[in-house]
Amino acid sequence: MSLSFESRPAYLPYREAFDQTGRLWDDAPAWVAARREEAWNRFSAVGFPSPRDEEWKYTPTSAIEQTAFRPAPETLLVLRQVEPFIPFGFSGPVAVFVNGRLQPALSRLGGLPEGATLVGLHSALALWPEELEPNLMRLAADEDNPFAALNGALAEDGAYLRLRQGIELDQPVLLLHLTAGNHVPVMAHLRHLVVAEAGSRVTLLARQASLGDGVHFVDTLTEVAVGEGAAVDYLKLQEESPRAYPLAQLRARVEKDGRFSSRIFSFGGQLAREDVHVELAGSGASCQLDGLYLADGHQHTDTHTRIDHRVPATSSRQTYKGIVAGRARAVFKGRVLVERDAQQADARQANHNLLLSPEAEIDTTPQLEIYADDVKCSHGATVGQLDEKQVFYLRSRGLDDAAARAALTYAFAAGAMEGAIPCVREAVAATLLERLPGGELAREFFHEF
Amino acid sequence: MSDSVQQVEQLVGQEYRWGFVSPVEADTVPKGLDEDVIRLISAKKQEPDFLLQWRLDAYRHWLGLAEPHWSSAHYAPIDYQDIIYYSAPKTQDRPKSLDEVDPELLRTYDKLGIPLKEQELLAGVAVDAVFDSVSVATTFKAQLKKLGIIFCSFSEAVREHPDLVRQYLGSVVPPGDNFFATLNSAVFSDGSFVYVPKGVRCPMELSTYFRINARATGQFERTLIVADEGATVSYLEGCTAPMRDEHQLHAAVVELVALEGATIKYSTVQNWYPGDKEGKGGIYNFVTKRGDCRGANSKISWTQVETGSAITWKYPSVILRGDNSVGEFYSVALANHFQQADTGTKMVHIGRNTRSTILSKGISAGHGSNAYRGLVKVLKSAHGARNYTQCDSLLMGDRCAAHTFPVIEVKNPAAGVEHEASTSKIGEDQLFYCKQRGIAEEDAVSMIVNGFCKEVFKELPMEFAVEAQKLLQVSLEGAIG
Amino acid sequence: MLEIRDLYAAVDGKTILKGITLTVNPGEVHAIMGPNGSGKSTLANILAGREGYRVESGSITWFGRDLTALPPEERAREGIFLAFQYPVEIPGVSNLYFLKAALNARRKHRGEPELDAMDFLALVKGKMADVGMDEAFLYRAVNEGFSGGEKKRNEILQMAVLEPTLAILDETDSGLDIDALKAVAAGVNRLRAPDRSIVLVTHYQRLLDHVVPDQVHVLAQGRIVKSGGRELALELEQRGYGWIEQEVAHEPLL
Repeated sequence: MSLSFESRPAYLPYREAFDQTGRLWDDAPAWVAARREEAWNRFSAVGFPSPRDEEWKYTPTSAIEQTAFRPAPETLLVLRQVEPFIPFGFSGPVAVFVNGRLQPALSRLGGLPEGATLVGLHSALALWPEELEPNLMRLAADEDNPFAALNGALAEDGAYLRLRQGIELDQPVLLLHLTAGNHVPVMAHLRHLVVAEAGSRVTLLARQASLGDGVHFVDTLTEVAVGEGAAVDYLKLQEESPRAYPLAQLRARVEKDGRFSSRIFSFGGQLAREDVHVELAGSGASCQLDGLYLADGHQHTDTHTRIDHRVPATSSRQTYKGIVAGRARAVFKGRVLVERDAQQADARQANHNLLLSPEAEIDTTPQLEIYADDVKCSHGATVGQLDEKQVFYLRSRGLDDAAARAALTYAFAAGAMEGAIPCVREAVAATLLERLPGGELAREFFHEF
Repeated sequence: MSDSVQQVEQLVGQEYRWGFVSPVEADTVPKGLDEDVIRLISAKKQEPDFLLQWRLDAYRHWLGLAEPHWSSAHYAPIDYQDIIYYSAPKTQDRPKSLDEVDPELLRTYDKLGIPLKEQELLAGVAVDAVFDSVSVATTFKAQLKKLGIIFCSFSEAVREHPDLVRQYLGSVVPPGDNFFATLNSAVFSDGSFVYVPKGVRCPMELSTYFRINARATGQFERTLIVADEGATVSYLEGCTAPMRDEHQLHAAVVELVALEGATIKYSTVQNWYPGDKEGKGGIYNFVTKRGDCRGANSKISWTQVETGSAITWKYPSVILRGDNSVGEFYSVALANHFQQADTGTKMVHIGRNTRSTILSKGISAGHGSNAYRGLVKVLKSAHGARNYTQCDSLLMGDRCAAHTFPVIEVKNPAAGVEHEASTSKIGEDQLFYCKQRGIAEEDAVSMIVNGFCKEVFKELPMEFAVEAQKLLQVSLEGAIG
Repeated sequence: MLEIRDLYAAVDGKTILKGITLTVNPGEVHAIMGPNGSGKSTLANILAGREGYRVESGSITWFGRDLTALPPEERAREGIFLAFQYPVEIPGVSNLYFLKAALNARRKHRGEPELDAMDFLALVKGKMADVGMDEAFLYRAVNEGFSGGEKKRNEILQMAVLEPTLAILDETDSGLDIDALKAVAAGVNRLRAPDRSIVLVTHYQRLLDHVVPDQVHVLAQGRIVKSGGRELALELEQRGYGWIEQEVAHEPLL
């Protein structure tokens, strides 16, 4: 047995951070304090994951543990600094968070139709505590992920988005989080709650980036309750600096005939991890989880998905793509669980990876765990390179080798952007071309930009 | 639950046909395990000193190991002091020919469908039969000897070819490899040994039948097959055990070594007693099987049909060390009643242009649980490595389970790895289609399941394919048995 | 030989057939036509005994016996053959093996000796030539990877080999090109015999250009709303199904 977390050097700074952030929640109802305490106890009991932990086998977090992160100081930005991160042509509501705190002056929280609300978590707790009580830190209460517990204990702020029954938002809602650089390593913990009541519909955009290239650790947790017949589409662009440690968890529960989709573009971070966990809790519920991860240089990117088919007649689809170059490493683990009696489950998962360099590595683990018999489940995983026949074809049409490869790499990635809202697609494509190996060459080929 | 599902469940309610006990007098050591027992086993087998030392080292290492519980299998704790580690049919001396073999033993093999005498005469398959712990007869020996092929019991190999044994024993599965392999290294009693010299193509299938007969006996056989440069050999293994209320442990180790240009094909039809319908009794089949493609252009192919045992943990693996070497794994695993099958393979690509194929078919019925667990690992050196994996699961009845746990680790950018898996219920529409053509339900089930497994069966040598198909049919039929 | 009386039948708890009465005598060819959703395929599947298709009331008798009491394989051995609208693929099971098992099940049921492999091959090769199917299909898995037309021909081949007393063709003509349609029609015509009856379930009348029916029945909303000779099919071809549905809608409800 290793030393208990409490006796390790990392313990104290986190304990201090817990006490310090506690003050932010002084005005909150008593149950908030109780849940924070509970989360802290869970985290301090286990500490950071060990490499022996099956869920973290390929992703050591010792670098995070060994860096003395301090809670990020409150930082005020001006609109000019934020604007580049708002997709061109986007005119919907925006909640801007800087270093883990909501910046009302930079946000556009109002203007939503009646029955739709976007506010900061602190305001929400003051206004409608009884409304948040059943969901906040409850949708993701049973997670054994230590960072979910850490988030519960240390979250400074977050957004609360609520849609009343039948409310459909035509415009997407943008949640932007920026971490401003500093000379010392800082950390921020953000917790969002989305409640889509029966029959409502909303598209959520989440964008996360760094200002400057300071070392920071950002732990985000988003809880989504998808009501009966409701539809929530979540689209995320993570473009942190290569020195950041962005860890994120997305936890959704989907009721009868509800529909949830997520599409995550994970491009940045020294070590980045996305945990997506969807519970299909009502019959007819469905989800579609897609994503694209990109790792170059010394980046390490990890995606874990889990879908629980808990009741009969649920369906899920997953398509994740990965591009790994340089000395980077990408990890994918997708687990599909079909519980006993969850008959007529229909689950499909695919994970395709491009490995572009001799120093890079990909580890993929698709898993099916099935306890019902009337099911249709499949998964597929591939690791490979660009198709040399295609490379040759492009070269025979006059492209040089590098340009041909860049174009094909971009084309492989571009599939993941299909169907996204145009302004988002442009933002993603721009980031992708900037970060993709040979992106400059691909840009020339795909004249769009 | 629909009528059809119920019928299917009845059909898969099979009885075990090989559950007889042979009244053969046995020479056994007392229950339990300590250094003295190991010395006794080694002495009974007149082993050279190095082997006794090897066993004792393994035993001492084993004492420090914990029984693994990483698999999804569930079972009551095993009392290692309640097992008999050596049981041999009592005969004055080793039989020199089949005429000297205890007729009761020969009748046992007859019942198993392995008439050693006839087989020797007609079938052209050389058979080594292992009864409880000891190899009782090896046929066709003389003919093989002419080609320089050694096919004998492990004990005999230790006596007659100690240098070969010493050179290769533990070179693929080291004595400290894992809990059960280490236990085997300490107490292994017998098994088969095969050596095919350079450039020789073994002209017949080599076959071993294993049977556990005595009560409370563990079977810890050890098989070592070495194919020297350019040699080719196909080896078959079959297993049965009597019906007993208590669980019996089977912890075998199989090591394969293929040198440059050599090919080894290893086929198993595993039909250990699976326990009764309530999950009482049955064999714990915890086996370590591994092949080493040590030379360039070598090939190791595993084919297995696993219908028996209460619990099976088995991952026949291939280390693809030589450039251009090939590893294959073809598997059918049936888990019925309360059986738990946790099986799969590891393909470790080290050499350049190494290739591996994995084809796994799992069938779960009753309360059975079937898991595919696999690892495809491509090291940095394995330029141009290729793997293709396909895992299909068929479910019958709403209390069974099927899991697929593949792991893919790739460190070379010129490698290609493809994995596909599917899980589905036995097709109601297929059953109806067959029935509409007048085919009885149980025949239809058997037809569809055999069709599902066909790609694996076709990898088996002909005689075995027929046997495997029948075995599967019996396992899926109700009254017949 | 087949008597359907006031048959009500449901699929997934929903009543689809609402009082069908139909008599099929030996040697007759009946065409059952009707718009989509009228219950044509339900009738075909009810006759074959498909699971999930439940008789609610009424009766089906087969040579005086209650057909609904028989499991599907018994019905097949009794000589009832259903050519599937969507023939099923059975991976790993060869067409040859499948057909032989099916034929011998029927022969055994009739007290005839089972055919051995040689005799069977001779028989099936002859039938394949009739249907215009390449022998290679014998060694392929049942319907696996077959095109739509090949699947339908395979159904006709099975019918030719099994020589049923009653053949029910469930939209066997749908989705076929003209050559395949002719092959199917020829297969059906070859089967016509005084002791054998055929029920053609079809949406279009074009198959009836090649297989001339004795009677045409129009099914709408789960009932036979009109019966007639071949000319009824031609009328439907010209006027569509709308006018019949209107006629039904205007009938007083009893």
